[in-house]
Amino acid sequence: MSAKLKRFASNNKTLLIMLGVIAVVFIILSLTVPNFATPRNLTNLLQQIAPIAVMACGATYVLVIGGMDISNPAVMAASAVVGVYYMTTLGGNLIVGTFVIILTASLLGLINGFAIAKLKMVPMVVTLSMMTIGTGLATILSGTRGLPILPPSFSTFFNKTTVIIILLLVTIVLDFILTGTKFGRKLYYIGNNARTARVSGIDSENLTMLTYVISGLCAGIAGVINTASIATARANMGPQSQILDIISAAVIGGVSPNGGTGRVRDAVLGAFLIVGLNNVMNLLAVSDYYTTLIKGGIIIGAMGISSYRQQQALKKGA
Amino acid sequence: MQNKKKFDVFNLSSYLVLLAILVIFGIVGNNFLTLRSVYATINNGTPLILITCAVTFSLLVGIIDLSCAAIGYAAGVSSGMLMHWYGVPFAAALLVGIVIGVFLGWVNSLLIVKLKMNGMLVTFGMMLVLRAYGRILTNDNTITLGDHVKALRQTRIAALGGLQLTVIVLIVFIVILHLVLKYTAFGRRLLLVGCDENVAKRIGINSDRVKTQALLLEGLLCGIAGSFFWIVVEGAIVTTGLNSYEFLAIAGACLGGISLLGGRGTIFPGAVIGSLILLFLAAGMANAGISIFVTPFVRGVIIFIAMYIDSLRTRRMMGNKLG
Amino acid sequence: MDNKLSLELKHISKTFPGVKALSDVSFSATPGKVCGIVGVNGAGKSTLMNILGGIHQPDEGGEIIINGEKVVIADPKASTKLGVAFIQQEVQAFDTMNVYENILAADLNKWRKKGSFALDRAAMKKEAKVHLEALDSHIDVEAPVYTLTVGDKQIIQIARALSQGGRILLFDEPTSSLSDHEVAMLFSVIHRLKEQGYIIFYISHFLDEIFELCDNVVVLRDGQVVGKADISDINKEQLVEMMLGYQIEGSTHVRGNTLDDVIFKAEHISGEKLPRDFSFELHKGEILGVWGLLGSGRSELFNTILGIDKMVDGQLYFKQGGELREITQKEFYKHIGYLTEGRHYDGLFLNMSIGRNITSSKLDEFATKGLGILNPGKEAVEARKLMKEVDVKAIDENMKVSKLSGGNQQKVIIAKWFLKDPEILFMDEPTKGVDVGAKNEIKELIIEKAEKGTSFVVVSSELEEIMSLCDRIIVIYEGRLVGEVQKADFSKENLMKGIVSQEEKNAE
Repeated sequence: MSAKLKRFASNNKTLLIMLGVIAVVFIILSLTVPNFATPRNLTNLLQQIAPIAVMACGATYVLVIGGMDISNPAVMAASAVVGVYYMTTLGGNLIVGTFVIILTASLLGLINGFAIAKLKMVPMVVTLSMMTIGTGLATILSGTRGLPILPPSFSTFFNKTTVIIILLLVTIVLDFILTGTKFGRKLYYIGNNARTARVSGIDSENLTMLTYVISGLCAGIAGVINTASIATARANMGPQSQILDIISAAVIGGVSPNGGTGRVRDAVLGAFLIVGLNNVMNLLAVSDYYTTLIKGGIIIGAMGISSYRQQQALKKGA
Repeated sequence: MQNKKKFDVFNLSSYLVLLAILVIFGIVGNNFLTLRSVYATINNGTPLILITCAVTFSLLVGIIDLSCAAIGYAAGVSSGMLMHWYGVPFAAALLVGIVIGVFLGWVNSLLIVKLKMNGMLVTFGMMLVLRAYGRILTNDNTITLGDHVKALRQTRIAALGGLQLTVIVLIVFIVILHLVLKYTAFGRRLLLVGCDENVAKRIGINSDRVKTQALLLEGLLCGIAGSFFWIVVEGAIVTTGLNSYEFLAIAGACLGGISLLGGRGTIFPGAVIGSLILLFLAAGMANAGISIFVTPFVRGVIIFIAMYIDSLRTRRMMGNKLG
Repeated sequence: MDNKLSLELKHISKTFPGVKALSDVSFSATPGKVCGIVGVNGAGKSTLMNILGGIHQPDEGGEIIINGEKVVIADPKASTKLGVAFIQQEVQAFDTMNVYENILAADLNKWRKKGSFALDRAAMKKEAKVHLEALDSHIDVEAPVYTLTVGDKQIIQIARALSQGGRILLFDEPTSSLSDHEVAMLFSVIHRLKEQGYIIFYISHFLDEIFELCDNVVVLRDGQVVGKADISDINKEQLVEMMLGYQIEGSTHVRGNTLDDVIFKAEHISGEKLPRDFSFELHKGEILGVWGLLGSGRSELFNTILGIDKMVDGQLYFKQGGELREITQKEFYKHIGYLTEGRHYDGLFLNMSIGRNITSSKLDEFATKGLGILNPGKEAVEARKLMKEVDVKAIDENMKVSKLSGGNQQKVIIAKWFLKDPEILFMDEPTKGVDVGAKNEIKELIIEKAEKGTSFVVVSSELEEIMSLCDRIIVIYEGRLVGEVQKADFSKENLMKGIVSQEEKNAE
């Protein structure tokens, strides 16, 4: 039994560390920060975390194959705006509208994936232009006066409870797909050594494309959550710098930016830390600038840890 | 030598795009091609053009630096606040700004070259930190510096049809940088390292030093772009100043044929024409009354197409190597 | 060229932890002569070159004497300073840069104009031209290098070596990626250099080249000099025997079953460069050897058949449902396994566990049909079974592959393909970089598997290995099939026959 426990501990080191850190931070904050451990704040916090966490799930997939998708927040905003445009200006059905959001995001992800896998373009460049295109699309559709407010039933349906359930579902499903299925395993193979994957008969082109679709899909789900929380959609709901929150969540959760390692579950916990930090700073009335400053420092630190880990692994390997 | 000819066509393509934009908006627009309006566009674009030149140096050694515009911003805010708070003369404030730019370039080189961290993400983090620094310093207010730099801003060269002094200064910079890249040992080494770092190492080039030098020069230029061109042109420190210029600069560099993988590119025509394309595209669309919301979308599509062409070009060269 | 130029090695030894790579190597070289250095893989050629290049230091007691003075070559810079220059097998060039920039890349500071930072490009071009003209080459110094042929790039490499003051030139397999015409061009360049009084070392697996180009030859085996001779005093057979150090004997592996059942046939396979019009048949349960010199297109043959490289021409036939049918490369790949030459390059997922490496070849087996959910328990059981079968020495299947020794890593790859249990296994140098013990184990694994009906196509540079392992050997030379030898007729002479006759044909 104890051997099993040991194995579990060594296999889930990141998880345990993350849980430990979150628990410690949580206890300290509940004791020191007024209004932190109130149900209201905590559910609010979960609602804030959800979109970032969901996008971090998508980012994990992309990072695992050694790719990069910085268009996530822009795709999220663009799909949300398209969906809300459909639901309000075009008078579309709310249920169909939800799917419009998700499908639009997946389609934009597919375009990313196609350019990267089939046209062999550099991921960073492709998603950089997708970021501009997405933001542009969102700005055009929302126009100068912004989009109208959605009927309240949308936000009532996607209330806090639903959002938390969605977050849980997405995390569990995507984590399982990545670690427990053939498809997910192949992504790890590609990220670990694309050439070996090819020799082993793994069709990396289509899998890579699919990975970027998943990243888009996650952005779409995040778009739905964000749309519900503000009851409309705006071009600036996915600021470009949000991608940093997403990537740092994943990197803090142990996902290597060089591919081949990491879990969705841990990236979501990373999102808890990153967004939780925002929330605490808000409660402490720290100005927005300092929050950004600290966040920038955190990602540089996370990158440092990641590059240290890699160099250690190299040393061991040799 | 067939290949050489094709290469030239590719090089020419950036001129053609710029020409097409000028012609189209010249016809569609309203007084778009007057000397005054062209000068104004270039003058407003001086910070972007210099940042594009700066980012070219890091791109050439294969580093994608997303903090370039933020370095300019941090440098500009620092020198602006020195003038605003303490009434420091512009020259001294400018010097401080430049030193800050070089310092930040050095910090980047420390993280990327020495500590071997993922360049793109680190500079992304750097960008956030520096943006926050600027906003803390200004407390998110717009600081008008009109009086300090008024003279410089208003200086025009009558003989050249009223060309702004800033543009003249920029041209001097471009000429120097072009010569540095094209005709010095330093410039040549940047290209060699970017072209193939392993080969460069094997024939005895200290590639780490070359990369560090590239980042230092980039920091220097970004510092100048922020604390000279931005302040003089705007006459004020705005919180959102130079926002998203990092993307514009990298995109402009790509449009100008600078490879994101390193080793290929020029200051002129490369970086300069590339950034002019983006500048005149935005100005032309504004002039033609197209909603400013459409601009980023069109820009994104153009960048995407430019990148695709670039990937074709790269593949053609590599194809030769593999075959 | 002054007369002082000379190089002498005295009692050079080099010990790596656990291995004596060189022991007591002594020889000297004369200006104006080309000295060939030959030996099988692992004989110590590259260690010797690395010592001259300043990458490794010889053990105490060895002396390197250049121009009459005892020298210490502490690092690559010192080596260049002493006038030692390498011309590598893989062309070292900057593709997007111009020819003259490539030639003079190493010491750009020297080319600054006096009193300015600018490079004196006119002088650079002139200098580059001088070096190219010395090589009798008319490459345009302003052409971008990516427009040139590999042969021209090789010339540029030589020009670079000369511009750095190279007087002692070491050519390391320079022809392995050149066409015949380019080889002829390179040889005339080397002849020219020889006449100008340079010291030239020439390392090659192509014995024909050694005989054509060299004046004398030094033979290395197991880190020792086993022979020095003027090229006019020996013949090819003697040279091969010196390199191998033994008479090649018949095999120990005797197969009972008759091999009449053809399972795979390749017809007229041509790649973009190599192979050329290559055809062969493979029988069920047969171990077919593909033997050829380095650069003869062995790996290219595999890559072309398996669709890794482009196949310009040719058909594949595979036995399905009792008869041979034409098959696409993609479809064929599902029926085969491919052990590549580069274990770390494209053989393993280094940072993953042994178990996951093994199961990567046949994930379907461990996943449910519809959703593809993996069964880790079954995976572990199966991985352990295979680890036992091929005898991977490791704590358990969760160990990272990067922590294993070379031999065990190779066994993991073999286990991976044994798990898939394909009808045909292609193996490119299956025992490369593996110690002697593991070598034999791997050979036995292959033979055992073949007895059970799996067919093998094996590439190996080691004559002894391929002769003891295979049932039949086909010989490849310059991408072409030049011979086929049955088990009963295995001998080095018979294998060389095809190559020698082809070379004679070429000479005509």
